[in-house]
Amino acid sequence: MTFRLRTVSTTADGRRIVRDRDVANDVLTVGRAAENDIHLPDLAVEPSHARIALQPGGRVAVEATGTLGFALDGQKLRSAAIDPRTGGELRFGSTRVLVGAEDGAVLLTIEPLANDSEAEPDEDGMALAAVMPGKRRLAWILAGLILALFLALPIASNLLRAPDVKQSHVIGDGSWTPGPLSLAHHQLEGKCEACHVKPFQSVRNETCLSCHKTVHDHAPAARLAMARAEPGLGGKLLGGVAHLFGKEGPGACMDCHREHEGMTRIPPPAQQFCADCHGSLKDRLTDTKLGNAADFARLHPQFAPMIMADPGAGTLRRVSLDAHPRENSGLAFPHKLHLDPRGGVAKMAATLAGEKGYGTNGLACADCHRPTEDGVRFKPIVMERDCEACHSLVYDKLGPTFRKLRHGDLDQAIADVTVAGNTTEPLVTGRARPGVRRVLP
Amino acid sequence: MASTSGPAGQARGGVQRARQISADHEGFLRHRRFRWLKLASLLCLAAILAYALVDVQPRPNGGSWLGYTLGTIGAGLIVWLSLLGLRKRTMTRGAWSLKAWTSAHVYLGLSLIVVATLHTGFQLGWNVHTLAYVLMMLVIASGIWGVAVYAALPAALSANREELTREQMIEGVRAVDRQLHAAAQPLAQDEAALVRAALEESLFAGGLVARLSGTWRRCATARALERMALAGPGDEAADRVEKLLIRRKAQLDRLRRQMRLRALLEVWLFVHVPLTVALLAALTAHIVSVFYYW
Repeated sequence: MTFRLRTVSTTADGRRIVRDRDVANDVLTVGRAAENDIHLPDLAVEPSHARIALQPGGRVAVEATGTLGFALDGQKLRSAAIDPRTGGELRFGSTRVLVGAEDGAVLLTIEPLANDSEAEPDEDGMALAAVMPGKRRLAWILAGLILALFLALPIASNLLRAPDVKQSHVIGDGSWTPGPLSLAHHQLEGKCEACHVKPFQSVRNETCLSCHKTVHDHAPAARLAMARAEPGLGGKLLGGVAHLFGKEGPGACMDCHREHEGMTRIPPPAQQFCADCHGSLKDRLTDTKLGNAADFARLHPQFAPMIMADPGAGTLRRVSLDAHPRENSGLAFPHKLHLDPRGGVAKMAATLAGEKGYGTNGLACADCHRPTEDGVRFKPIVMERDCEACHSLVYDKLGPTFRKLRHGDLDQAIADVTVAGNTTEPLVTGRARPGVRRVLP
Repeated sequence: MASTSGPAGQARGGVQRARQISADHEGFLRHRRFRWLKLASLLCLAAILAYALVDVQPRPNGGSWLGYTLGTIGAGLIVWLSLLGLRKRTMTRGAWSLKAWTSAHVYLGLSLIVVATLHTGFQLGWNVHTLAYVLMMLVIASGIWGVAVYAALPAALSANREELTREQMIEGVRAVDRQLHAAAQPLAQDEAALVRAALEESLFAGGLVARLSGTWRRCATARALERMALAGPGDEAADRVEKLLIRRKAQLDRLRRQMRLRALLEVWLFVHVPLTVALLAALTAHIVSVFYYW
């Protein structure tokens, strides 16, 4: 038996060239070195790669002579035996050797595998686009993510929420908040739907009033509307645009009380809010008794405090500060005396300091004038609370208890003192009644 | 520059004007004596003045009338600027030429930094509104990078090419490869494997990082060269292979320098374009969300 080597090669234009060569040897060597019977100029093939030998019985033995081995029908092996009549496909590097039988000889068809790596890519490999994901794909992914997370999700969640605000829960609208709510509304943080009730509808006054139930209008609505100054050209334009976008119009809560401005107290409305009407109020509300006020500091009618004009009859009267008003309350109460840090009052206050909480430098305003609970105004002075620490009303002592005058109720006080048995000498002597000037001897 | 006749020449009339435009080689940045730079500066100045003069209570805010005005201008600009992606596909001349459009794109795009920042009233947070702002700033930053590299890199690119076309550069490596393949035939298997690895390596290997930084860590040619040098002076065949590898490495280096310059030149568009579309999405979410919770 002999070997028949059939070499198949392909020309550049795709034509196949087949050459047959019979070799009388019983053993063939395969390798990259030129002296091999099957010479494969392939760097993936060892200089001496394998030997193929005829065996008695017509079989062909293949044995690796180097370190790399070969593949038989896709399986990596170092030695194998093939029956040429059934055939087999050997692979060395990038060359395929088909084993078969022809005319009593063992036919080895040697064919290089098609080499894909030789083909240059059509696109420009030097361009960055060759190694980057497409711009269009990136763009769609990013835009899709943003629209899904920041638009579709909150809207869907808002539309499908429970109708009751207490139970409703909208997912994803946290990304919509333009800033934290004020301290007063802080507990509504994340409950956007509490104020933004209906999609695409501005926050309504009625929504504010559903919580702020006791807030009343500054004046009857009709008079407010009459008092409001006609806006200028710019104001009209802005008002028109705001109306176009569904804002409620002048006087809406939101116009002055701005939200989402940070976690502080809601800033008080600017004085422009007052001046819009009061700046030229007399022009429009002719029956008003109020003067025009466009600015608290500069364009305000003189303040006219209410003062006691006649203490006996209790008549109160407003007098302009320009007229240098002096109150006649019937009381002789010198602030100067009470606040003198070196006078007798200060001394008395210092001795009572520990017990009553007075400062050691005499009295301060806050020792007598107490703020109201809401911290906005002051409570009226009450003798028992604000004065009695120094000005005792005690006139008698009965065992461990003290008898006190009823302050401000003269008749009652006289009755008390007359009816009750006067036990001892008066506690205080030589003291005039309040409001009555003592005539010195 | 061809058009140096100045404004007097430009005013002279139709024929001359047409000739001038056709011979006009000034870049899009200098287009019409920086016309769009001036217009964009004017827009910025107006926005800054309005911001300084309008007393928005209690503090400057995107939801005031000035805020809405600046926001509308900004959104309009963004939409118009992104339309360059469509406009660039048709090249025309004249007053609305692609060059004029590009010039306006650059300068009006830069003016957005002022307009949009004043629109925010410097109120930023973790929300979709700031997302749109940040995306816009990234798009602008990548655009600035793009203008800068378009001015700086083409000269380096053409210097590196040394008058060769891309195909010629690739063919140069392939020629060395064929010689290497032949020369490596007598080598022992371990050395042959090194050469084969070098030959099989794609010329355009290397991802974004390798291309931008210009460091090809796993270069098979460099490794083959290193190992062959380590093995010391070998026989005649090994020496020849080593010399060929050195030639291959030099050719490859030039190819890679070209690839690095191309990457630096092109990378901005991979930020600019996708982020522009992302910005349009974020802008939509920004505007719709404002009116949804109006």
